[in-house]
Amino acid sequence: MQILFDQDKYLNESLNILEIEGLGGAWALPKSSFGNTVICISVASGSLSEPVYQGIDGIAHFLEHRIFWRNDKDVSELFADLGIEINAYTGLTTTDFVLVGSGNVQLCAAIDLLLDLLLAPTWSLTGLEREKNIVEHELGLYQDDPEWIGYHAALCSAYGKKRIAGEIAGDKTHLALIDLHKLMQWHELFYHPSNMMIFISGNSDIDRLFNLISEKVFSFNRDKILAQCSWKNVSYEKICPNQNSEFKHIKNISIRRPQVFLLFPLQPSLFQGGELVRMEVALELALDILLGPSGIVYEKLYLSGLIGGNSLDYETEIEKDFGFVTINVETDLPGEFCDQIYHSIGDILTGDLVKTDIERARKKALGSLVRSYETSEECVELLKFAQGLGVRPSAYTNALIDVTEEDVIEVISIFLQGERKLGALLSPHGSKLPKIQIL
Amino acid sequence: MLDVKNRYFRSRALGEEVSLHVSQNAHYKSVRIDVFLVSDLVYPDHTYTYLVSRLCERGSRNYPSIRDLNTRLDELFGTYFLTDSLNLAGYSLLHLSVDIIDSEYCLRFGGNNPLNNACSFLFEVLFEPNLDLDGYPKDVLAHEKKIIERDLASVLNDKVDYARNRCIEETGRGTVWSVSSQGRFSDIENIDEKKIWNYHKNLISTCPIHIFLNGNVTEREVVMLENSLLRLLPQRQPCEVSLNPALRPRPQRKIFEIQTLSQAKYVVSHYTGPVLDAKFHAKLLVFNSLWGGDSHGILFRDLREKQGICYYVDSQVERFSGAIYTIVSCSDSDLDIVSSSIDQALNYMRRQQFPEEFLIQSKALIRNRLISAIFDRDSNLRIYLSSIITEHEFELHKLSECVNDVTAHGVSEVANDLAKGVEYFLHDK
Repeated sequence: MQILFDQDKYLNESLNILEIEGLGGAWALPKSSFGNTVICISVASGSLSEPVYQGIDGIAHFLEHRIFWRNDKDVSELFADLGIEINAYTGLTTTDFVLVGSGNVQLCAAIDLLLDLLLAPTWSLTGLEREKNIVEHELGLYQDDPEWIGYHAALCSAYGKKRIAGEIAGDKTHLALIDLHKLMQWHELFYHPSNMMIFISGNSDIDRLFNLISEKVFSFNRDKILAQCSWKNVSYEKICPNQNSEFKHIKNISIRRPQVFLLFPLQPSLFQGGELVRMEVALELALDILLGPSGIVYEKLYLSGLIGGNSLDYETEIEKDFGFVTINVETDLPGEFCDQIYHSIGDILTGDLVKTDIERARKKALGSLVRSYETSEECVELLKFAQGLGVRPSAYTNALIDVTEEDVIEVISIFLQGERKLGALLSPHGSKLPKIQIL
Repeated sequence: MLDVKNRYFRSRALGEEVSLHVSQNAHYKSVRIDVFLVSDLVYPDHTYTYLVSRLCERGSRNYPSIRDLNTRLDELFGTYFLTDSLNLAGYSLLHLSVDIIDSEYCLRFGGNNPLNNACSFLFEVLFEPNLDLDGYPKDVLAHEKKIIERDLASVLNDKVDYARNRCIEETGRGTVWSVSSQGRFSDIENIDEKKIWNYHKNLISTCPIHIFLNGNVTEREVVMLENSLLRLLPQRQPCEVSLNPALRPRPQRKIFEIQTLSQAKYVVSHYTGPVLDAKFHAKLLVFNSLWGGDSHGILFRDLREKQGICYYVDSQVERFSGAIYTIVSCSDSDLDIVSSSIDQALNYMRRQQFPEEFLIQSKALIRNRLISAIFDRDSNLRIYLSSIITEHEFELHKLSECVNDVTAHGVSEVANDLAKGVEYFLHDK
């Protein structure tokens, strides 16, 4: 076991790094003045691995649900005994199990228990079919969320039927294919310490937690078979957009005004290894210059009534094998909005907007970065985010300080400019008012 | 041992019904200034307050456009600026807030201490907005009214929130507890630029004002903030604001609304009575955890894990209005089962038919949440503010002690005293 430290000289932060054979890694930001600790055990088991390994959409998410069952009991009760909250989320590349609480004894017991559940779950047929019903209800809930519908339709517009565009939780047909044997196979493949990373921040004793993690990993590796995959080295193809992709129009959604979801898929073949963080930072500044409330484009959109007060959102998602930018808005004039955005992207490359705005955007981004160290939850999110870009948080700070005007212009011209318009438009159904009856 | 003392605020009066509350602590990397103007929660005034909060984001004397204003904030290392209207504890609040990164980091990034400029900015927005001769610029007002109209129409998009808010509205119908944060469009449809500016002037001269300063600030910086405020504070004639009683139980009602939906949303309210003392509050929190607030709660176990008829189930205590709201998303065909299962579950709670270990778990979870809340800037501020405006002292660590003392009998007492209010069925057919 070896503990390293990575200093962020600008933000006065010290990242503790646990390096131990047979574990993907553990990163911790000690924060003695915080009121709690957040621990996230991230297993590199996400929906993008499904087509390669089993072809069942939603199995990674379904296993996340089943991990919570031991001897036909919901294990969250065991954590509640310790006063610790537990939750879990499955995404494209990972399944994250998150503990929140305080007290060294309680947190050590909780992480010990969670590692037991992840590495040595109990398997039972009981409740398997009922769990499928619950997941179907989960899927039904999302069908009432226009943002969810629009986001997936936009992904579908760019990636067609590729797994990245589908529901993380799968669908009814695929859920029916899941059985105990397949779950156990999936678990054996992915739920190994080598394929996990642990992110910690808060007021607990980090050395104590690191010692416990080391002991657990050591005893697991001594007894068990070798890992079949290591942290995020699972092979899936680089996710490229389809050649024949097209804009989607979904009608008759139960919303009051049209919603537009523009999508700019990034070509992963253009990501150059260690340069991912520079690209992410350059894109962040590019989007702020283009769409932030201090920009000329935002002002134009706002004053012309194309966007409302807080209705314009934009986001970047980049990992080493895929990436995309989404811009979504609620607007009465979706066609005009899209035209303005595409024209503005062209204009930004011909004018000197990047040159005049980059320092403002950098200051704003630095301010946001400073604030992301203010709570345990935000710190853990930052650690995961930096790790997803393949760097430590200090490298992210440095990239933000060093990013140049040329970098920003380059990402706009490579990733945002283009002829193909991708995304989705959600239209409301007629102007029928709700029917209400009171008894 | 966690040091919580310096998390609390020290208060002092700066003028007639103008108070400054300071928490000087080095735990945060940013400094937050929040300003609250407190008034009665009534229509149409609350809608006017919401409109004023929107207009405050549209410019000030020195930063007359939305772009000027936001550029200024970015130059101050991305100072966060927020304006909104709240309905807290039965009052209407105009809220303005800035969050500035600590000067230490600005200096490291080659800038200056932005606190002074951020204070001036905040008070300028409140006291010296961008005006024409008659009041707010006509075009700005027309634009904001249009945006509010659209935003209010869009509340229909989030079905869970919509159903919950409709149940809250119907449960408190005719009282302040039914007033929504954003108000009603009909109140402002015909308001002109002069009238809304007069309303704004009236707010700043008559409302009690509470200013919160929280972060790693020196005494000199506190004085600087005071001076910055007093330079612009107008002549004041403060008015009293009235305290509102919690909801009283009313006859049960069922309301059915049809919309296009994938899943029905069921919301039911139960009256709890006023939640004024910490002991009762603690019992209610434990009840809520054992009910629908946590995953070992009876509703989660019964509706989701045993019957498998839903994924989403939740319950929330509204302390000031004295109600608890339970929300379930399920199939249309299961609405009746959900409704009757909730009634049955309440009977189990009334008869103490829940395992003792669940009670211990709930208490442990709540205690940890309360400790976290002590260290959370927003929770701390909100609790302190509500204590001041309701004139009812409330401290998190005392509440945490009371949680320790809650018994199964105490929980069943809470359950016995609950009276069903409104059942809101939002469904597809």
